[in-house]
Amino acid sequence: MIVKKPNKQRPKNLNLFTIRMPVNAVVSIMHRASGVVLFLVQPLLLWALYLSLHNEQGYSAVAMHLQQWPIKLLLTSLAWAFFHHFYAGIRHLAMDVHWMTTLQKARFSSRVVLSLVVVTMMFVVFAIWQ
Amino acid sequence: MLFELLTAKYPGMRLWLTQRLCALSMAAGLLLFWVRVLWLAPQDYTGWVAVFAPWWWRLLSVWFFICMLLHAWLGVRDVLRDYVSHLGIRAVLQWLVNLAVLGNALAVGWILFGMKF
Repeated sequence: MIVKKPNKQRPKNLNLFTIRMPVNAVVSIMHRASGVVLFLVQPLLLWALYLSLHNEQGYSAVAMHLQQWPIKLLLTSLAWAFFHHFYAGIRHLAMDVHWMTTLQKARFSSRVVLSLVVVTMMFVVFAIWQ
Repeated sequence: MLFELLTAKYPGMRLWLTQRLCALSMAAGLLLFWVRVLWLAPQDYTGWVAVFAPWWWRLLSVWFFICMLLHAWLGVRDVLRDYVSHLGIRAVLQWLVNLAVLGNALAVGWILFGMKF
């Protein structure tokens, strides 16, 4: 059976840069992006674990690198990615059990996620940079 | 009855459950890690090694990393399926991801149970 193509006169706008995204769209895409980032960083974290456990020199090397501000910046970004992914993930689990799935509640829960990330990052930044 | 959930009668359920259960497992594991590090408060190499010395802790860590690798593999698989429409390119990327995940798994096994520290 041949499916007819839709009428080509219908208006469409696929330019994402002209569309204002609702807060839950932002939280959702950041959840996905942070997941990809965390995946790409896995080998680096395993390398750091290996070095830190292998011997005294490896441990000192990791400790020394963690004092450098570029690495601290990287760690801060990774922590932000992790906590965003974590809290947005909890939001996903809530929606999986049909909690807060209506539009207003979903927008509310995404704001909660963003607020939690900000609060957590204040503690993390203090811990990394103090 | 609920066993049906794990059969082909509910397509996608096993993978979906795996990813969610891995997530919950990791959340619990992170809490456990935080408590352990607060308790032991390692200050140097010796202290750090002491955190990972007990076999049961390393076993729990392997479990954590297996969960992480499964969870990540499922997530990246979804990302590739959503954004890469060309089947040939997606196949190549998926295999690279599979190799990376396998490599990470072997690395975790080596670090926690292979190398001596």
